[in-house]
Amino acid sequence: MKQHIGKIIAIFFVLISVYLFISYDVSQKLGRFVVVMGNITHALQNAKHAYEEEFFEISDDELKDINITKMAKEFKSLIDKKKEAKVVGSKAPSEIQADEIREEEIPTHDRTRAVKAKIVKLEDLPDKFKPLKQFLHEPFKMGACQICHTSKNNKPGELVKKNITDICYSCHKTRYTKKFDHKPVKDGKCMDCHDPHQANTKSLLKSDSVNNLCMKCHDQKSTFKAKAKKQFVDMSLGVKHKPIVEKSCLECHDAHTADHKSLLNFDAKMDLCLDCHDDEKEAVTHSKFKHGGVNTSKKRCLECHDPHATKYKKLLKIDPVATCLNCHDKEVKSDEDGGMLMNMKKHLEENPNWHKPIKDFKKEGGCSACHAPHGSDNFSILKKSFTKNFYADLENKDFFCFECHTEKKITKQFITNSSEHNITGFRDGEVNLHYLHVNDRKGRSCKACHDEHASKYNNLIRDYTDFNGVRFPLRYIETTEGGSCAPACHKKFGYDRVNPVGIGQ
Amino acid sequence: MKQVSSFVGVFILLCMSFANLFAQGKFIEIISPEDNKLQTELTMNVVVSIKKQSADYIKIITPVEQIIMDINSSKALQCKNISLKLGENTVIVRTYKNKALVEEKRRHIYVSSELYHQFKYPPIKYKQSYFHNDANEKLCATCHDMSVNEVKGVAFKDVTKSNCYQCHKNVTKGKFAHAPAVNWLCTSCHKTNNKDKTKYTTPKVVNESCFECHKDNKKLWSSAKYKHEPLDAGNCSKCHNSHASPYSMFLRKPVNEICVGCHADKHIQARESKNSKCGYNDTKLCTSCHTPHASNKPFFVKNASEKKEKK
Repeated sequence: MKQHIGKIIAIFFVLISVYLFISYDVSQKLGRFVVVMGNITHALQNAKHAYEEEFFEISDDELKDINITKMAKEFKSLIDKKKEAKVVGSKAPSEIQADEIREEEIPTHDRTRAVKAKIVKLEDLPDKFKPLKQFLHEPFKMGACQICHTSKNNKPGELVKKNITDICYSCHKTRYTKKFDHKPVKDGKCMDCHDPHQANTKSLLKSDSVNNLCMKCHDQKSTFKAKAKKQFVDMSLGVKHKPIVEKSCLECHDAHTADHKSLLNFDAKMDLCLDCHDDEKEAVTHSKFKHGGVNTSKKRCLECHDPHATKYKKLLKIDPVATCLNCHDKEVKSDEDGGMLMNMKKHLEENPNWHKPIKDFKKEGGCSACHAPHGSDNFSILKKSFTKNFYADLENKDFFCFECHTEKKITKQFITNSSEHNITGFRDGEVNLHYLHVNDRKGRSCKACHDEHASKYNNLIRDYTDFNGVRFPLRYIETTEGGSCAPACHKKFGYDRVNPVGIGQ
Repeated sequence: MKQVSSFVGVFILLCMSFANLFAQGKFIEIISPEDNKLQTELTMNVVVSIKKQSADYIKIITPVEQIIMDINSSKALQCKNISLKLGENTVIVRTYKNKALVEEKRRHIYVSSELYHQFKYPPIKYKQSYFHNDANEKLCATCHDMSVNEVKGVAFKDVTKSNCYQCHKNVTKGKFAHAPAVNWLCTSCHKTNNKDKTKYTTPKVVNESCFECHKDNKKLWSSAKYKHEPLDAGNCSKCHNSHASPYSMFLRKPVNEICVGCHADKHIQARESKNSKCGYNDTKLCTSCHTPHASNKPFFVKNASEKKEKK
């Protein structure tokens, strides 16, 4: 059986090394190789520990086999050499000599030469550890206090090494691998978060949950604020990111070390988000028209969204309209065609009558009622197709506007029934003037007369309409039961709902 | 005694005629138009300078109308927009004082049109002349703002605010008015600055100006197999009046008249042939079957789809 295991290990090593050489760049290869090797050997050594489970049962017979003093010596030499490696550069593990480390990382575990270790039975533990908590640190449970503590001077709690990290890392080897360290990890303050003996939380945390532990320092109102510098999160706000509530901070962050800023496993700006948000991934990366706000901006997703908690739906930092106007408060270059997009903030300020989705943004969703902020296959990142042209063939009446507005506005030639009068106010008596303008070979699109965002006039009637690049005023004048209009298309024509003036008068 | 009285009478008559002769060219000076002017529009502006207190009112007589105009003594120059007819016009400007004629001056104007055989070739003495040069504008500037106050690409909300409007408003009178003209976006076409002659001429070949807006048409026509001669020559304004017209599509004449102006033989053919489906009367238009611009079919016959659309 042992022979077979040897073969399997050998094959495994070969496979892993081949995989690593293929998948990482040369600068990272060696470092990663070493780490993975260490992990594998560690796992193999503790085959009965079941590596993934941190807490397990161990029989007394097996305990006798462990040569603790030898292990301690091995750890000592290991730590010393690892320190040297750290000097070379903990953030650049690639610089460590592979062969050197490989030898170190594999402690020889010779069970045949085991010496009887001093085992403290649970009943003999000092009173301060009783009653025992739910989760016990493995050496603590084994009663192998000697792994960490020395009994030479008979002082309670004295450690085998001065530095607590040296003791922790002697067993927990998954360190020194990534670019960024959590401050307590960097400072060697494992005990800030973990209890070395026992706890009621998994991972021996000093708090009742992961989130509460994090918030001890990272809450804005925390007394430990100074520790966390500026990395505050206000989780008291109404809208919270689901993973934080349903799972924990560790869904995104690594508590110890990570390759990306803010202790993340992916780039915080976008990659991290798209790891879960598959539906938006398609829109952001593959849509025909991309939103510059997420496609080419500096902060990507975080331009608009807060990853933790906010007051507004969809985790927007500010209200939906203000979010958009944050950038669209000036003329912005469009990613679509390189043209300049209008200064929407100015437009809204100058024109007091706003389109309902903008006005009632809480109910209707603001700009995103019509625009898909992550990207769309329709121009102007609209959620549904529309026309850019002045004239539009409305035979294909699948227009975006009719998602909310009734199609009868343009299809019904005469509105005779008074109960139907609310379909449109653009009537001369019973004659529907919308029908007249729109249902034709050269039917005008809604945009010809209406401004989809805001206007000075009622019913979002435009001040100017764009025709072949020239802006012509509509010269709209509203009366109590009608109005008149004198655009470039025709001379001044009036209409009246009650006393019809006749078409073309 | 008789001799004396007759002598005195003769003397007075002589004096009056002499005074008249002497005064000729003194009381009225016509600044615009120049004599023997050639033009294509049916309206023009007359600018005259009247010697102070030499007259009470002015009478302008054209073949189309008679205009009586009071003299505004506060202004150095008197100007008036007048209507003309096609062909030769004689414009007479008369001044009156105490209902008596003081002086009379004449100008000969020729309004040409490519659509009429008889007005196509003006007599050689008529020459095109231009108004908007620095010297003339200086004279007008005492009353008028001669600058272009048009914002490119934005039409006037109140068209009377346009500086061009005051003098040229009659150009856009007509049932059908072209949007750039009636919105006084003049410089979108009148953009060639020929300093010696005038500041606001149109390009010689006019169609490029038209196609700046009518892009779709350009695309459609340029790919066609057969092109109508005026279109091919870039002479859109041969049939269309780019300002305004009493006829649809800003045509200079009703559709059928335009066509038979050149295709006179077809006129007879269509009228006289009993079997021809190509009728010619007020209800049937040439353009019901033919497209006047360009087509892939011979004789510019319309496609079935085009006919439907036109309905």
